[in-house]
Amino acid sequence: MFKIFAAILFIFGSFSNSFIDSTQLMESYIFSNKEKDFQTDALLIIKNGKVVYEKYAKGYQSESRHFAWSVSKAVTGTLIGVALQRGDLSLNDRLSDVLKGYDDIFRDDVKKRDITVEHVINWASSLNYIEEYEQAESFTDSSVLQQLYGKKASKDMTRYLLSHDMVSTAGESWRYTTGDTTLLTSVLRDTYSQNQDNYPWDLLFDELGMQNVTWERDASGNFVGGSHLFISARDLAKVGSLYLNDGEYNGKRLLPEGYVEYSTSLNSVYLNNLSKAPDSLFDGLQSPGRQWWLNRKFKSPEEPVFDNAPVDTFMAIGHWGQFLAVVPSEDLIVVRFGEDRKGKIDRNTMFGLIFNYLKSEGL
Amino acid sequence: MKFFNQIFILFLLSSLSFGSAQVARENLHSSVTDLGSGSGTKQICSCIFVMKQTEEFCRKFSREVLIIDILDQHYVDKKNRSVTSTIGFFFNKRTAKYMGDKHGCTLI
Repeated sequence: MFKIFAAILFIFGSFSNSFIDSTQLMESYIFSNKEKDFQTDALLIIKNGKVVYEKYAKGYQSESRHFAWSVSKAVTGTLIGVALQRGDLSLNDRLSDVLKGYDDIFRDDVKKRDITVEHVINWASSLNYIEEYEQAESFTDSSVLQQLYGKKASKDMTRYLLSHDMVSTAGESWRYTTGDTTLLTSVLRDTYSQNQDNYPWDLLFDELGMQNVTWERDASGNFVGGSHLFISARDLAKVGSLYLNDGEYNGKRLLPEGYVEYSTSLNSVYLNNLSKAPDSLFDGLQSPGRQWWLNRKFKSPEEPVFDNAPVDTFMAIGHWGQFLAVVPSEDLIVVRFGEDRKGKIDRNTMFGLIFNYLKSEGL
Repeated sequence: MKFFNQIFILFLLSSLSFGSAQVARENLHSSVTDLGSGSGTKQICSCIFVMKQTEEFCRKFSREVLIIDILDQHYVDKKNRSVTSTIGFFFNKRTAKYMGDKHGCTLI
């Protein structure tokens, strides 16, 4: 019912720019109310480097730090890029060589010794981590709930993550997990052990001028790389701007040349794992890059998943509808924070209304 | 009536905890009650001290995260900037402490 309403809104808007305010049209859908099962707390649109739309729901403002959930993963991937650019880390580094204090785990399971930074950034550690959320049939079987809230697991998330069995040789099995991304912050913690409280700010946040960002840690002091970033819409957009500028910010190169392309290309392990899967498996699904999600169909990557957005759109996506979208061909950044616990908002409709708004504004 | 409802839910959750402990795949796994109180404690702490939302909003927000977090035994200590939760009289007690502007809340 609601999708029909959204479709009517969009179609109506597409043909009636002259007498329907495109701003109202966009807001009436995106800034929905509780009766429509979701709400938007922040919407920020930056076109050609300028803020062209910004609105916050009651209780939020431009400095408000909103939970980002798994949008955090793209920020973690960005920090890895900065560490690579500085020469402090290599994609071929093995976790068993970098991480300190887990020799017992690597001694007990030799397969785990071969996990590299590149495997993990590909979401392919091959650890048997179960990514199920609060709707899971069995809470206790959910690795992510255990990691974030378990009494023992949350004390030292790295130890908990590494305690999972391997399902295959490292690097062979693609599985989207909060665990793998958190292992990336484990790697960064031990790479920057002399600065483990502050390295995200020194490496990235201060360079981008981000002032409204909080990143929570486990009890051992490791930033929860797969989640637990709280950030303002404007600060998150700065990460998007770094990617729009191919890894440079204010003329300074922060990411290695080619890293943006690497992060936003189709994930090679995913390609290998699922090349023989039926097309129907991928209906409406974005394809994974490396800590980012692409608007490309897995089997035909020149076609967009959301046809209201250009095919080169890539996104950082978080629980309950958080996202940062970057569209290089349009020089466009969109940040949306909100609460959509039932997954009711139609992302394609949302893109349609946003592009309709931009068109009507002559942007 | 509310008291009896709570007793019933505690009984139900304790049964689930016992059952899940028997089949836990990892010795680092926690019970369902532990996850519920951990989730509620952490969510309320972050919501109040990081997101700067009202306590009323945050209590409602946290109850909707995990359905088992319904007993509402969260104590907010604004002076020490921490949240402590218990489920029932003898179940898990969890504390989340606000560690500052950069580091937000951590379950301790």
